[in-house]
Amino acid sequence: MSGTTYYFKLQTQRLLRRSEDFGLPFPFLVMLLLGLFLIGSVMVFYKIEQATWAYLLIAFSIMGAGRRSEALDKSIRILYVSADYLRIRVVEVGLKALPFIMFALYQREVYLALGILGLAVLQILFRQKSWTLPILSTPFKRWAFEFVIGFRKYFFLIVLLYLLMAKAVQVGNAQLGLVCMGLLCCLSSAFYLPVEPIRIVWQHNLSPTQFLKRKLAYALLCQLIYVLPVSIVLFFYFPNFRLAVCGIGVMTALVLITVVLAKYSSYPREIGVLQSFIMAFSVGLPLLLPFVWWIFFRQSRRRLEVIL
Amino acid sequence: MISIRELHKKYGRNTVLRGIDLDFDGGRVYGIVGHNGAGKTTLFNCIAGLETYDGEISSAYQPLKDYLGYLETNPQYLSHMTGWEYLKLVSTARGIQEEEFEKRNIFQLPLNEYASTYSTGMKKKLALMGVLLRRNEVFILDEPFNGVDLRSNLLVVDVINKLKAQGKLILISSHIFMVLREVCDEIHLLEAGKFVMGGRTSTEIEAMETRLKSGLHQSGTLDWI
Repeated sequence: MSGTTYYFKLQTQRLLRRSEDFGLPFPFLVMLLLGLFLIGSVMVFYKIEQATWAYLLIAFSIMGAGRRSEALDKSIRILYVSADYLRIRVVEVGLKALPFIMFALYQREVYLALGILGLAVLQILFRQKSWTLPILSTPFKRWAFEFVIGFRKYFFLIVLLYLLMAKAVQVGNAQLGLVCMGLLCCLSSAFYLPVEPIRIVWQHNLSPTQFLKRKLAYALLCQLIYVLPVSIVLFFYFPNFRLAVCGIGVMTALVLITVVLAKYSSYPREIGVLQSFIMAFSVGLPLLLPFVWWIFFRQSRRRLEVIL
Repeated sequence: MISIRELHKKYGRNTVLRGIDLDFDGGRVYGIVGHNGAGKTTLFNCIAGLETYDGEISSAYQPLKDYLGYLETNPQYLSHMTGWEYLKLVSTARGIQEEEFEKRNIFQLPLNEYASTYSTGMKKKLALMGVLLRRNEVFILDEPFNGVDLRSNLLVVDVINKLKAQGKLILISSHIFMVLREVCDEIHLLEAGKFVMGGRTSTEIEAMETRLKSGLHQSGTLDWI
């Protein structure tokens, strides 16, 4: 068996184990992801005016999501000769890009398909070279390390979203602008998904309730700072959509609260399948949110009591 | 076997290596010492082809990466992968069809457990086993003695001596002078991205130790504690 063949065999094995840990049978997980992909793709194409740009951006985000840390990537790179490592990268990024390219072709958007392919090539090359960014200053330093790390990690994506929003303003497409704002806010909720080491929590001289309150307050403050420039631009250029801007702002703040509470309700483990379902369900039915928060808050307090 | 000329490496405005010139021969063990941040790991990364650089690194083995075993300071592992699977991954990456890892388990690691759940020392030992399985010609061992228990440290020393006897080239970075004295043919001191001293004799090594310790007890250093 060749090195790359065994690599992908092992990846499949790991995926099966992860799916088992997540509490879902693997075929069900695949079907779920496929269903979400199809529903999401159809919604983008039928609900958004500038669907091509939005789809390109979503494809780029998903291709970049779940990438390995620099340190882990180095450990993988030293195992393989350059050609094999490149082959692995091509397959990994290609598998993520393929559904988007196929859907674009199904929509007869050949240029979009070529655009996604181009972005996939860029992603492959980006990981091949060790490009280093200078340490970016952020306005979040004093409050939330999650925002500092997330902002730096997804800097290019954030810049891309801002560029797309500039395009929305240029062509007068409010919907595209609102999608950009929504994606920016969803991205900030994702900043809170990685689980920090226990000692980061342990070092606080706070009770679990105080810890959670502070965490939530700082998360909302950082979210406000993060989303303010976008909101101001949308407010100014699309006065008819001010209510929608406020709505997205409030809704994403509610999502952020839910994510933070869900994270600590299973801490130090990652958010499990049950919490994920509850989160998705309650975001769809906002009236349930206070009840869900209450449950997550109680669970989080119990989890944190052991550590704090 | 490996020749380095005018090697420079920058990360943005931060210059890490400032003109490294050194030759390494097969069948010898070279120790690289220096303060944290002196550029040891960056030098190793450049030799391993993991970083771009200015200057020249030439070798009798082409491409060098294909003949090189690299033990990192903190090896990282994929989640949900057992120690056995890691060793299989490492072997197949070099086309080695090996499966009897239990027989070669010199550190008595629990190979059926997830590698990501191993302790720091166990992770290092697993990575070293992987490096040894690949039958390389050049070995880079970045702090191989850190976090590893005494028995395993002695075993690592034996491994290094055996590789040396087989004519392999070994580069080691470590802060433990006592072990370096025992295993190295030459020791070089890297300071602010340049080799400033090197040698083998007791006098030369003592001079290096003294230089590394200089400035340790300046008055007032610990007053804030």
